[in-house]
Amino acid sequence: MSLTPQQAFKKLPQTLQNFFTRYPPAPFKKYATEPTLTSAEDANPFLYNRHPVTQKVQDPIYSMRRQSDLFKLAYKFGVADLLPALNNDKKFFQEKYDTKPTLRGVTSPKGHKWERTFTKRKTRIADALDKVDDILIEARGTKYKKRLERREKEKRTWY
Amino acid sequence: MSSKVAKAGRYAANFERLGYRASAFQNMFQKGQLPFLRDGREPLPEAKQNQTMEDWKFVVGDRVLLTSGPNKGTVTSILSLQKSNNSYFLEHGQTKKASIPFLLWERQQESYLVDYPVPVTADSFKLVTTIKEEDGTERDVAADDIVYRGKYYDSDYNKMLPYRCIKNHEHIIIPWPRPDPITDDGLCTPQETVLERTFFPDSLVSCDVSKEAYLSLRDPLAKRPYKWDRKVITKSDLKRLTPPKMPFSETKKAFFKERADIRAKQIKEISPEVEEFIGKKVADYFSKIQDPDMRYYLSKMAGDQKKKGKKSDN
Amino acid sequence: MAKAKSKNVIVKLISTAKTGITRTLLLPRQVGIVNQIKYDPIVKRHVLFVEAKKRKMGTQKKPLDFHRGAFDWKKK
Repeated sequence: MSLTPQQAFKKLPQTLQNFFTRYPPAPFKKYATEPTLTSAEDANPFLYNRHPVTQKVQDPIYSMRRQSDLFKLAYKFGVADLLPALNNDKKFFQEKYDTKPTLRGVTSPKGHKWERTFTKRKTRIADALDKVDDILIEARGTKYKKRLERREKEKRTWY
Repeated sequence: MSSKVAKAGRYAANFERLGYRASAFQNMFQKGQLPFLRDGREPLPEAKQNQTMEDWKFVVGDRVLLTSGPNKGTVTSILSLQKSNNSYFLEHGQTKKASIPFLLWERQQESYLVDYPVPVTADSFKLVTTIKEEDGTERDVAADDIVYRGKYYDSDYNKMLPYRCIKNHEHIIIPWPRPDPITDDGLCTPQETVLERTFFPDSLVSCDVSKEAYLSLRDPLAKRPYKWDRKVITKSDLKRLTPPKMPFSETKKAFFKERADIRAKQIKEISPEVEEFIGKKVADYFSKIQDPDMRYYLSKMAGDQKKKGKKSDN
Repeated sequence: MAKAKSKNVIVKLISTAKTGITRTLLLPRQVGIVNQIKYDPIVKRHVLFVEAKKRKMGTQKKPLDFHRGAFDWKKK
């Protein structure tokens, strides 16, 4: 059986009916996504708005728990997107997992310190190793240099 | 002469509660007493002591005939009653010499030795009355025993008293002796005028009576219930007794106004456009649901269900 | 009075192959800069070990002066 809009609205639970009565959805009234003044026209009943005179932050008209309850109930009846933005950018179900950032420890593990410094250390040693012969020659003197050259010259290259 | 022991009161010993041990304490008490104040007999318990005139049979002023003792045969009168032993002090009865310490001498006393009357019980004398013979002569008769017949109001004693009649000769009535008339002193209110009301208060607010006389008007510790101590609070009392409410500060007033404004701004009824919009969405959603369990669940959760004893979320 | 300086000093020599291998020596204070060519197990060869830290060599013996006051007027 097909329901008329009025019948369908009455099918919603009383809590949702009351909520939509007090806070009409998006096309009729826009709600701020950031906390504003409590007296503002677009004050979101889910957010911690400020009082215009005292400048004190006031608890939301619907607590976080009640917001969640409303959302979950509305989701069941297919009207979840008609609710204003929840506090703390709260998301539920698939949307939550879609908007969730990936665990950086899973996608790009940091690695151990020794892993991170591995190449740097190895290149340092390799570079130093290149110069080591020259350093030795410098330390030992020309005689040593000559000795090396002689050794190189007289080196047997055949087996 | 005083009894063996002072009457049990606030500061006096109560020997009755000691039972069989009382005699030891009483003897101790007696030894501490002055010799002339010591009494030979133990006091009777309160229950056995004579209270009323009917109990006593013979009262102060009665003429009696002594039947025992050294003055046997003499006609004397009763001077006073000793309540502790149901005894009588007689005018010309037996006396004993008692030595009185100097500090307790009477004004006119000149000697240490004083004649003290010995109290006697009712069985050592007989009541005497004068009867008129037929020929007009009067003679005294002593009653062996007294019986009570009938009652009358005695204006001197101010109470109902029985007629004392001689046993077996009940035509002979021995009248109760006339008591000493009560002498009024200057501050006494005469009997005729004592119940006459003379003071009428003029106003509820002020009182003509001086402060010092307040206590004479009414005893503050009177045990009767206070006439003005009503258990019901009337409307005027309530109005008078309720304290006034503290006036609100400016902040509080602003708070109330703000709250009223918020309430006024709240949308009570859903507008048809919004209802149409939401309802259409819900109807589309419902039409798309195939799962029977989901359909069942939604039908159960629906707002048009009449639920017994279910509390609303909001 | 300040603590008396010891006769010897501990000198740390570090490998020039930049492996971090060090060797320590106990030397008299007056001895000059010491370099050794020793085995470095990381690179598996002999390399020069140089002193890791600068140190004071102690009071060097003043060299004997034979000029007998010549050109003293130059010194100011």
